Amino acid sequence: MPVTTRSKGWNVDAELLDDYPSPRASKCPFDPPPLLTELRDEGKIVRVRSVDGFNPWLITSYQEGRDALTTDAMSADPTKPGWSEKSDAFRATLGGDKNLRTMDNPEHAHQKRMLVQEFTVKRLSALQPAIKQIVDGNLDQLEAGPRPVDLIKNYTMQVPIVVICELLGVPYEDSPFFAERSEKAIGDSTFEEAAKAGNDLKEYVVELVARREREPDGGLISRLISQHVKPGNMTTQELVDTVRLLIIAGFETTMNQLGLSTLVLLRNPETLAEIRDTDDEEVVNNAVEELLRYLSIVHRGRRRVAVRDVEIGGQLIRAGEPIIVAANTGDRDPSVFANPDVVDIRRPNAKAHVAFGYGIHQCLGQHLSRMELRYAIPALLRRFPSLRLAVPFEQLKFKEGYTVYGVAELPVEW
Amino acid sequence: MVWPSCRSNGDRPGRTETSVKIAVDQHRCASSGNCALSVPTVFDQRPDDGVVLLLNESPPDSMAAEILEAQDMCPAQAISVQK
Repeated sequence: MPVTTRSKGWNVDAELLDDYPSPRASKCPFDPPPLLTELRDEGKIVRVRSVDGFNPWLITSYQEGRDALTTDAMSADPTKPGWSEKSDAFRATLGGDKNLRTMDNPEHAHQKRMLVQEFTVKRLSALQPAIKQIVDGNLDQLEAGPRPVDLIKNYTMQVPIVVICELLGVPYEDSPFFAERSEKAIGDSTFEEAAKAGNDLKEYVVELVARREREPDGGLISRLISQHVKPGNMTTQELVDTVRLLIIAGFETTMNQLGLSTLVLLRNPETLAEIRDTDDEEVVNNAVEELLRYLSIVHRGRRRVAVRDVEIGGQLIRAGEPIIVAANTGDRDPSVFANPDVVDIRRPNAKAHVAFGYGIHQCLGQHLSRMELRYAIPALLRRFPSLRLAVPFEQLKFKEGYTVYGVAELPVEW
Repeated sequence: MVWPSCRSNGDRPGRTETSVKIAVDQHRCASSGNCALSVPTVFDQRPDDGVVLLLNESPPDSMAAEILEAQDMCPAQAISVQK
């Protein structure tokens, strides 16, 4: 492998990529790191140097990413030999969970099928009126409030949190508490900070579950208790880990996607106008998919470990070797998406993206996320047709070290 | 002529238009619901566990493109299609 031509980011002696992910180009905060894009375009599968020494293989192309996420040679279980965790913060919190995210089939399917009735397309459609009410109410508040205003704190953080509280039956008054803890749990925190936040959340959920056990309220947690925990299909521990995951995954993701999507549209005024002014919901739906593809915000990879030897993209990966699947480079793969680095809301295959992952672990909440984005994005643009950034683009800060990418603040005015 | 959707029970009326043949593997299915979202006249989800329900195993050829798309997007690769 030709390492001598490599620039910064390579450990030339060990023929390893120094770290993952490498830095993004400062002028292109929406694009994946150039070094990773280069690897994909060269068709190279290389290893990343990791602190634990397991040095995961890095998969950057679309098709190989899908192969890696569907082969049963790969396990999602961090207790398997050779697992390489993404960060200290993650290891301290979600990384130690026992829930569907960290299980393989058949156990995974068993856990998932207990939850999934709450997340089917049909079932979620019942939340549509609540989503509309939450978004509209939030927009009323923005309209009546001061400007400029930070859209992250006052819109993108609000809507998904309220929706997830509604879905799970978690008291909305508790949301500042767990919003703050979630940010620490998946953020750029030390092990100790993340562990404390993760524990606070766990204790909170334990308390909430106990409360629902004593006084069922007909919400999702109560239903899971009566339908699955009481009959012994799911332990209380599994329920707690699952609810904690749903809280964090339920809002961190949609919140950041909403914020970044708004920013991308502010930078692409013609596209913004198209979405704002259309009355064709298919145009909006496809735009949402294209923004999911373009941003692919789970930007620090999806991890697996091989449980038997397997070949991916011509590279032999042995049992006990970990991998990282980079979805963001896959979502910009020119062999799948023509002019991949351009936002094209009419792109015919926009929905082929892997922003929600692929394989059996593909995001459980993806339809809920879609419902929120499909309503919240156009609603914002239509309420404030002259929406614009209130600070220079260059001043914006991005959440590089977080499990889910986003913009930290988005001051806007209209 | 467009055939009404029918539960897959092995019995089908005669066809006057060529159709796409679909099969789903309920065991492989990961309950993502992507197929039900994109082609709701052909795919549905079981209410208790979200597993795919094939509503029409021989939809007309005119639906081929969207069905192939659903097949490609199925994260569990549980849909097979014959044109």
